[in-house]
Amino acid sequence: MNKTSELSATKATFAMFRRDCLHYFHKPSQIFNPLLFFFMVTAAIPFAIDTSEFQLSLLGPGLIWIMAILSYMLTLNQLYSDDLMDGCLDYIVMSRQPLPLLILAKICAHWVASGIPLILISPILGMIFQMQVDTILVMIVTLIFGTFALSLLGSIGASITISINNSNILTSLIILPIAIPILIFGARTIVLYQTGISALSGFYFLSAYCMFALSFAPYASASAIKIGLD
Amino acid sequence: MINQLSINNLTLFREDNCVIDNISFTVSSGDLILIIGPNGSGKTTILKAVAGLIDSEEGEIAWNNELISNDIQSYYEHMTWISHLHGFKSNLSINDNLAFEAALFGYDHTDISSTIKDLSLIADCHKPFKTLSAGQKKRAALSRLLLEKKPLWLLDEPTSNLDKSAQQQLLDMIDSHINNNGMCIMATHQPELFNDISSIIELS
Amino acid sequence: MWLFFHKLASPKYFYSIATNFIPWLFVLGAILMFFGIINGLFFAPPDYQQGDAFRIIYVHVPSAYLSMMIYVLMAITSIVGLVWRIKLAHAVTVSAAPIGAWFTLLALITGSIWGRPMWGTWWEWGDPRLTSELLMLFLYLGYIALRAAIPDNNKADKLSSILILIGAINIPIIHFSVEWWTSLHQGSTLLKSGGPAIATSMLYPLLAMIFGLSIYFCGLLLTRIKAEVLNREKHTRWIKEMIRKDAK
Repeated sequence: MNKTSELSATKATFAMFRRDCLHYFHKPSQIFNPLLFFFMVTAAIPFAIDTSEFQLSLLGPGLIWIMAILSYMLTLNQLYSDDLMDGCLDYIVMSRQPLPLLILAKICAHWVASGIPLILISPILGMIFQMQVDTILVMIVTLIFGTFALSLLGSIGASITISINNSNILTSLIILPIAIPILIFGARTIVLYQTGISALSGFYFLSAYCMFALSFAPYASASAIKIGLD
Repeated sequence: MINQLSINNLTLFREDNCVIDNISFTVSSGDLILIIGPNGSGKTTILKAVAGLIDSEEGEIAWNNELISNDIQSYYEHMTWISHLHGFKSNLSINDNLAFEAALFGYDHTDISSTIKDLSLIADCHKPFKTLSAGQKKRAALSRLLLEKKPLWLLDEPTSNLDKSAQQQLLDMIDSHINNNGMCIMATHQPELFNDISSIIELS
Repeated sequence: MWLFFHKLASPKYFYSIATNFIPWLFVLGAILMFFGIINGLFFAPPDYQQGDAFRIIYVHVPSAYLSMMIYVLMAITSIVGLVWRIKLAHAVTVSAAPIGAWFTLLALITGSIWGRPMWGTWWEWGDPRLTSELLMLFLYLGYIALRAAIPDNNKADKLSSILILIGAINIPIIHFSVEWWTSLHQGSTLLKSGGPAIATSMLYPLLAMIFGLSIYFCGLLLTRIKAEVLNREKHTRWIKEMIRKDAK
């Protein structure tokens, strides 16, 4: 009758990850629209400012990072809104699997669907901003950790606002203050590298922040979801 | 195995309005409880509270004399909840959806195929869920009752969108569940469909 | 003693205690601040380096200190409200938030005014303390925005408490930012090993301002909590009794 002996948290986590990835795969517009937004607004910047090569490559890292964060914020509500609307979230909460683990699977799937495409088109933007190849590589590494940390923190914001309609702005609003350090360390690491100082110190901070977010974000999101379930 | 669910002095608020005020009742194995009342009277709210999804301001819910708030995870193991939302991803097929739930809830894969056959969904089980009719979606949602085989069933308007034959199938499912010492609490607009009702709770 | 705290969790008891305390708090706060301001503005000697410009310390330091203390208070009451489910704790958190936001703004503005003659700039973006204090303002505002957006009071309390706890990481960052990173902002003056690095004639008015403003804040907070309690408990009998009695 009770098949809990066959239940395994690892299996459930992977199943959750797989399901969310499949779900994102079937809804390409949810991925492409923010990506397109990111590309368009960042590429539009040189129209607005002085386009001397030196200026662009100096400002490039910061501008790309800011736009990356802003476009990433647009994707955060997808984490829970679909599941809430079709009733799946009830079952995820009641599934007798550790909820923080399932949430971590959702966050990883979200990062794969939203973060990786963003990272993949960032080199093109790097070239628009006349950044050197090695700088672009550093930028990619910072974006990898940065976007993952943003997925983690964003999941806290998204889980707190699940019961509110049209909460895109509010989610970003409550997460931005704690996401600013990611911006600071991410952009500064690239700038430090550009000016010849080692990028390692900034990178240590960035990865440390990411790990720190990893340690509490799933639990905070789990509590918030259980409270917010209507 | 005789189980008992007792609800004592339950008071529930929704957006600062009191929707359920001091309700108490007990459900034992073999009981079928119907909750009726107009829309907005709190039927779904009280079911969700019994399901452990909503926290109650005052009052206690106890399963076999253990407060469910003490160990909600083990309470979930004894109950199946069917809401008016179907709980399936619309872009994935029934098979994909149930395969996912199998990993979460531990269904057997052979169980899944036989249940799909029983509910006459086998023709459409590979198509995206959103292409199914409302009745088929409801039947798919109800498949959880057969797959999970838990003693307590909490159903929120299970007969909506079902045609006559599917309704009869649901009634048979509930009848055999009750006869096998299961218990069922159901919110419904059609109490006349059911026999052997242990009690009716009317909300206003 | 514990019985006092236990009874304090009851809104009705808290309301009557608050009503008695508030006038004393405002009076004491006013006296201390009066002493602080008069001494600080007129009697403390001018700084050998900064001249008279340093006197803004008497507003800047107390408000910066309070902006952080209020957040810590909110974090504590959030924990009390979430873990022990005491409704009054949530009422305290809600009431404290706007006051904290204003003090943060005051700290930022007075700091900026002070920075202009001292550092030559109204603002320094690279500075960790300035940035983290600004983030603190955003955290307060985010909390207020979140509470306003959730209609269900109970859910709003709990969800915004989670938000406060998440943001609490900012407090040690602000405090230790001057030690961990290079900053324009000076280091700790009062809580240093070896005693405060400030002349006593300047120190006493500063302490008076810090305590005075804190006590004034307590009075302000209790007033706001009273209003919040009235709002939350408006359906209960004791409020209706009180209104009827006051109407006579």
